[in-house]
Amino acid sequence: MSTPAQFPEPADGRLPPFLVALAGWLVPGLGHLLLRRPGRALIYLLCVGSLAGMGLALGGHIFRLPARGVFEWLGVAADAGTGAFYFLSGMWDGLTSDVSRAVGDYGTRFIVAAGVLNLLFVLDAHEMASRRRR
Amino acid sequence: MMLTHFEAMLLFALVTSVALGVLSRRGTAARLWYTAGVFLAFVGIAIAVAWLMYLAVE
Repeated sequence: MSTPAQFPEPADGRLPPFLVALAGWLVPGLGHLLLRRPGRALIYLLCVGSLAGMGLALGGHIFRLPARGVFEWLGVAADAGTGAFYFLSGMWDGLTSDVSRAVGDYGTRFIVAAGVLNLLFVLDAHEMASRRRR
Repeated sequence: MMLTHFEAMLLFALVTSVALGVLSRRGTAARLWYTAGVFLAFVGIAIAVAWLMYLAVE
């Protein structure tokens, strides 16, 4: 019988900020949900999910490793900011990017914007968790 | 999924302005005003730049 995973938790029962940030990065909004802010969590999940989903539906390009050049590295960093959406999109075989049309190029920007927004949400969750511990 | 350029811009402006409004303001009224302002700025500046580009080519 396996024992459940033990996360480092402060003595006052509040979650450590890095864990909140990690959760918020993996699943957009989860960090705020852990901080008992379900309204914000839902809005953030919808914002990142709708931008990433529309970007994929428009045929946007997803930057993946190995990256060549600074711009591709920036693209990987931004796209990976969407967390679960980035990793799940790699498992979806029917996904094809088409940047030969303008809307496909818009899709690429939508996905990048979703990732950057989620990184902002992660910083917000980390800051909120840090403030609660003080 | 087929969208016109204008529809894609509207959707992007809407989602991004809501996210920035919730992130950067406290209180419902302040958030609504900020979101509306950012959305109108997105759309207004995009239309202004589009006209500038159109007139520059003409």
